[in-house]
Amino acid sequence: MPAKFSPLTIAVSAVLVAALSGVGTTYALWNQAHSQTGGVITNGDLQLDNDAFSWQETTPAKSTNLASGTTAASVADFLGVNGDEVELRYRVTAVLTGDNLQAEVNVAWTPPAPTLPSGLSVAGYRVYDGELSQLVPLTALGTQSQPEPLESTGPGGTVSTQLVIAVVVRWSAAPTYTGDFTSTTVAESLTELPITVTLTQVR
Amino acid sequence: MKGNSTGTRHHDAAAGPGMQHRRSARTDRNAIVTFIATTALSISLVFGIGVGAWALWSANFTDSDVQVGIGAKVGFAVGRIEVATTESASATAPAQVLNIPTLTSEDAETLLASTPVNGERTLAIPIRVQLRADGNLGIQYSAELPSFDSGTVFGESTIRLFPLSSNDDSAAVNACTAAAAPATQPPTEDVVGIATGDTSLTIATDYWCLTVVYTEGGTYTNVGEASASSTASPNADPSPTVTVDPTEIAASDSWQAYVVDSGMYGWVHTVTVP
Repeated sequence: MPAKFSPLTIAVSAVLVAALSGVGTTYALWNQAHSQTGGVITNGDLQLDNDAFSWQETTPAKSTNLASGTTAASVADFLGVNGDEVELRYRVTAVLTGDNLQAEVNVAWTPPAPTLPSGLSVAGYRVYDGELSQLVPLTALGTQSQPEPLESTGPGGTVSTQLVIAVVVRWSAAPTYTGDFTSTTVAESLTELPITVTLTQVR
Repeated sequence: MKGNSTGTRHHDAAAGPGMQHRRSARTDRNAIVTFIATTALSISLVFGIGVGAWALWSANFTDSDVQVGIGAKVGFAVGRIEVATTESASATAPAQVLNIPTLTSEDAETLLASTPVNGERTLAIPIRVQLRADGNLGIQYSAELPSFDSGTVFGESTIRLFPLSSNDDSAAVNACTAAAAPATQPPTEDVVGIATGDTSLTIATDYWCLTVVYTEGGTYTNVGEASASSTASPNADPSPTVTVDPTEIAASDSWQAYVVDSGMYGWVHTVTVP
């Protein structure tokens, strides 16, 4: 007595046939057994460590007396004016373990993105190597970039690379006039810059 | 029989013909489902498509500690240091010229009321310039000297405006004397009040001294004459050698008037960037 297939069975079979024909392969039943001692499966790794923070004034028109600091609090004391630029530098260690593994860097706002006041902008980010040689020029936030060394090759290859991710902050506001010649108050208002630095495998 | 779809052989053996038919159908269906699942898995593994999970790794860190500020300010004010108060004018926009009443008619009165020393009357006015330039900004400023008409008090005086190195108002008042005035007028253009490139909040005060040395001049002489006559009997003239008409008298006098041409010193600043 022939088996009666349910509609579900027929539908699944039809999908299978379609899939097989779509990829143009043949389907045959054969079987062969071979015994072998168990091998070791090595898992890969992708790691990003934030080692240190610093900031550096990079105002284009200046070459000397550039402001800098190593704490987040000290950035707030920088009195940016029209034409000024500062890099918020995150020294990170990127570790890639795996065969033929490649990764890219991205810097984006940590949602929700802040509303920046007029006269203040974040132009993007740059990537340097550990010696501060530029690897990636100014790139818009949210755009992945490919620093050259972020690639592990060969069986079980591991690459540990120190990078400096630099978020570029620029000021464009004209200063306001005051008759106050005694105040030591610095900036009128402070704006948080919440960022997320991501290392993403692309291969 | 619900919940017994994977029944044991014992159950199958006890089943009737109807149940045997259902068992065979289930067996076939199970075999087909198993075959389909195995095949689909194989395809997905071979071609990387289908039901298998394929994920790209990522690692990240966040930072929300950094804050940056805006609100840098500049300021420029200039005024005379008086005994009790400081009269000053403050800039509220770029390229403003601040005119302060540096030499007034009251100053001329003070000058002329002073005691001459070696024939010279002197006046010294200390001036304070207040500056603020936050961040990399700097400030330059200039003092525009007025010109005085000759024949006036200040036009006939030697006037100097020169910087002081004083650190506070009191020291500036003491240092501002006519004796300290240079022989020639020093430059008053593009004076660097605060240099660019200092990224901190920078407030500075510059002191200047305005001196006036007045030598006689700047006056004109008025001569007035008056005469009168009388019809009354003349008095006897006590001086027999002078013959005058005893019915007329005459007199004359003269006086000097000082002409003051007040001067306004204009102060203008420029905000500079690196």
